[in-house]
Order: sequence, then structure tokens, then C-alpha cells
Amino acid sequence: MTGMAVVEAVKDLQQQIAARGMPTGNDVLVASATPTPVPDGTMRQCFGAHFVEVEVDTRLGTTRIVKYVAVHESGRIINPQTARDQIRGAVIQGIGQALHEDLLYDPVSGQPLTIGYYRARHLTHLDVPTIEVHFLEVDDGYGPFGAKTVGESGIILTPAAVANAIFNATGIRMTSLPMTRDKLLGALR
Amino acid sequence: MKALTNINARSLADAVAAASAAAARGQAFAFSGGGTDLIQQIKDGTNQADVIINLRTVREARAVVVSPTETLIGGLITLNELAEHAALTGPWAVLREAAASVGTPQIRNAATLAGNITQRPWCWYYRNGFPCFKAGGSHCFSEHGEHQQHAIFGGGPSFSVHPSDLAPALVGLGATFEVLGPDGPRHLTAAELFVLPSQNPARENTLGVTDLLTGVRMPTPTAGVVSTYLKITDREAWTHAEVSVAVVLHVDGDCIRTASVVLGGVALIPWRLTEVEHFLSGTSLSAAVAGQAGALAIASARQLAKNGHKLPMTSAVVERALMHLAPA
Repeated sequence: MTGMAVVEAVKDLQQQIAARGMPTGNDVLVASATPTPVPDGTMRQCFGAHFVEVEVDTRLGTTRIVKYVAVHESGRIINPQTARDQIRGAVIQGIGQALHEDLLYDPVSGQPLTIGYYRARHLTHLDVPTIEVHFLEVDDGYGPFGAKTVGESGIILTPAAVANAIFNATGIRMTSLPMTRDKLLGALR
Repeated sequence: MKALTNINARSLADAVAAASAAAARGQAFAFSGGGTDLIQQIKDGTNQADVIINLRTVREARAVVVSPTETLIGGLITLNELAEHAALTGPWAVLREAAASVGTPQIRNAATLAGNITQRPWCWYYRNGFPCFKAGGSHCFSEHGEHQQHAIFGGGPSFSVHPSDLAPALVGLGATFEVLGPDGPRHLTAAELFVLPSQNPARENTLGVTDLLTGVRMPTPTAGVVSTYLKITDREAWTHAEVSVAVVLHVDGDCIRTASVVLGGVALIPWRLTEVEHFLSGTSLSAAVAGQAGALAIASARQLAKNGHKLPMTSAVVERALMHLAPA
């Protein structure tokens, strides 16, 4: 969310007020906008790079994340604390997706097995590594005040970064998520 | 959630009497120590109890009594009290470490020793309401289904695993189990308490519905006993063992006189590795001996299609627990 929709909607309101005047009594003015992300033929993009240091126990198949660094270019950061925590929360979910969270179904009945808070295998506080978040603030002139999206950009990179770190540590390319110990030990044998 | 009747038991005898009375009325009932698992089972419908016999109001069976020869631990002691008990230091490490490895601090503050030993398996089929052996049915859905966490020892016809961390530690320490039933107290050895699915696939122990596990009794470890509990899990907290091991060694200088090696998370009972124990007796602990013990640990293991990773894990866990006890 960059606020471009708000800017466009306010412009629409301005035009409505200019044309018909301010609303009176119980009247309301309604404006909405779906701004095009291609204002001048170029895409408005945010960028990121994630760096992961892992330890892989090759006898137990355990992957432990020692350090995590996320660097993002999301334009001007208007609220640094919420932006940082947005990325951090996304990374935590991404690590769960990378290493733990599996949705298993009974092959006969089709019933899901790994349901509920316990079975879903979200990370606990003790599983969350130190996550450093850095922003490169670049105003490319598109978003309001130079802001661009933070949103989901943090979660997209995480499984790939963890998989690459496992490859760097073990020489093994993991090709399905989550990268659990049964798959790792199977590949290591 | 359905309406439940709560009975606050005033004593152990009162609790067993309440259970007998409920059984006589034909009511489904359950003893509740900490209730950490039971309440969820009732909500999920995997426990049909209408009457809860609350043991938190019982003041007995909460102490640790250590004499030079024998130690008695009350069944209603919480896992946190056990993990931090001043009398259970040194050779008791296995018990302390097992208690500290359970669940989360909130669970350990409420959950009891007896409840941990007698909790039902955490197989995802049983817990999700499949009509399996553990739910009184006549089929194990895991055998040809999803069984990544299931048994590699003693499986069949049920392949779920015993979830307790304290049970392997207690078996390793040579504990016997104190039971109070309608006909009075009795003592069971581990072999008499825990049952394989081939003997009774519906239950993990021989306790009757009106029997209450009131405590455990074991020889007080002598000088020269060292012990440890090593638990491997897929995350850092709030989970059961994929593979765990309790090791208790009686050492004389460099030489192991006797060894107890008991696995958790791999069978429907705490799984004693008698071959490994015999192999270790008389050896002096080294990396080579620990490695051989690890290899021997899986000699009789039998994997299913999707749980083969538990074999190398078991080897590594046994080897590392032994090396943890090796003199520096």
C-alpha cells in the first residue's frame, strides 16, 4: 500500500466539489480510485535482498538459522518502526514456510491432518533468529512522498534465501517446501 | 462446548471413590491433574468425559521424598517443580532435563508428572478424531497414510508413539509405579505398566479407568551415577520428541558398570535398548564406543515408508547423549 489510491480519490473529490459544491444535510460524496501502477509506461517496483546464515546438522537434519539480514528498497520509509516490523513479521512467517509448516492430508480420506495451532507448526518465540532489517531509501518520484510498498515483499524472498543457504552449507538443492528433516536426511543419504 | 460436572477431590482416596461412583452411574469421567491436555481433548471430542475429577484440590502426592536408598515422587507434582527441585541435582539430571523439555513454561506450571506419563498419544489421526485403535476402533490409519512421526520399534497394529518425556527418564532410573484403585494401592514395574499395541492397541498402559497413578518410586542414585536426557524436536518449544533418549550410567572411574538407555518418541512404550545396555557394560566411554552404541541402537528398528529418517536420528541421539556424559 503506497497511498496512491488515496491521492487519486482525493483528486476525484476535489473535482466533485468543484463541480457541485460541498455536500449539505445528509448528502455524502463518494470517491474511489484504482490507480494504475504504470503511470508513465514503467512499473513502480520495490526491491529486496535477503541474507541467511544457517547451520545444518547433517546427522539430525536440523536447520538452524544463525543470522538473518533483510535489506529492502521500498522508497521513502514514512514510519520506520512499522515498516521494520512488517518485514520482520514476514520473515518469521517465511521461515515457518521454509522449514516447518506442512499441510498433510490423509491419502485415503482426503482429510487434513496438520490442522490447529499445535499441528500447523508456526515458529515459537524461541525459534525466531535475530533478524536485521535495513532500508535503502530511494525516492523514484512515483509514490506519495516517495513511498512505495512494504506489504508482502518480506515473505517472498525468505524460502528461497533459506534454501540457498542450505545449498551453500550442504551442496544439496532442496526443491519442495517445507525443507523438513525427513527430506533433508533423505537427500543427504 | 458441552456441560461438564466438576468434582473437586479432597484426597487421592476421595478421587478414586468419585471415579468408582461415576463408573457405577455409567458416566464417562476423567481424572484431571493439570488439565493441560484433557480439556483440549474434551473440546476436540477425542475424550468423551462428562465428569471431571479435579486433582488440583488434592494436597497429597506433591512431594519428593529422598532417603539414602529410595526416592518417592508424588504423581501430582508439577513438571516445573520437578525441573527445579533442590533435591534432584547431580545424578538426577535425566529427570530434571526431561521435565524441563516438556511443552512451554505455562504447560509445565500446571501439568503433572502422572499426567505426563499417562497422556494419550499425539498421533494426528487419533487427535483429529479418526476412528482408530486409540479411539476404540479397529484400524491404524497411519500405517498406509502419513506416518513421518510414527513408530520404528514395536509398531503394529497401532503405529503411534508414546508422547511422554518423563517416562523414558523414569524407566532409565529403574522406577516402579504406585497406583491407587478401588481395591487399594498396588505397585507396578515399568514392564507391568506400559503395554505394546500387540498386547492392547487401544491403550498405552494397564491402568483401569478407576486407577490413579499416585507416584513413582526408584532407587536413589548412588555416587558414580551420571545421567542425561536428549530430546530432538522440529522446533524449539511446545512440541513432543521426534526422537529422545534417557541415558543413566553407573560409572567406576573410566569404566561403565551398568547402563540404562531408553528411547522416547519411537515406540508406543518407553523403548529400552537392552542390547546397547549390555554392550556398554564394562566398556570405557569413548567416541568409538558411543558410535558403536549408536549403530547398535537401530539394529532391530523397523521403518515404515515415510519415517526412515528416524533411524539415523536415533543413532545420532544415542551417540551424542553418551558423549555428553563422557569425561572431558
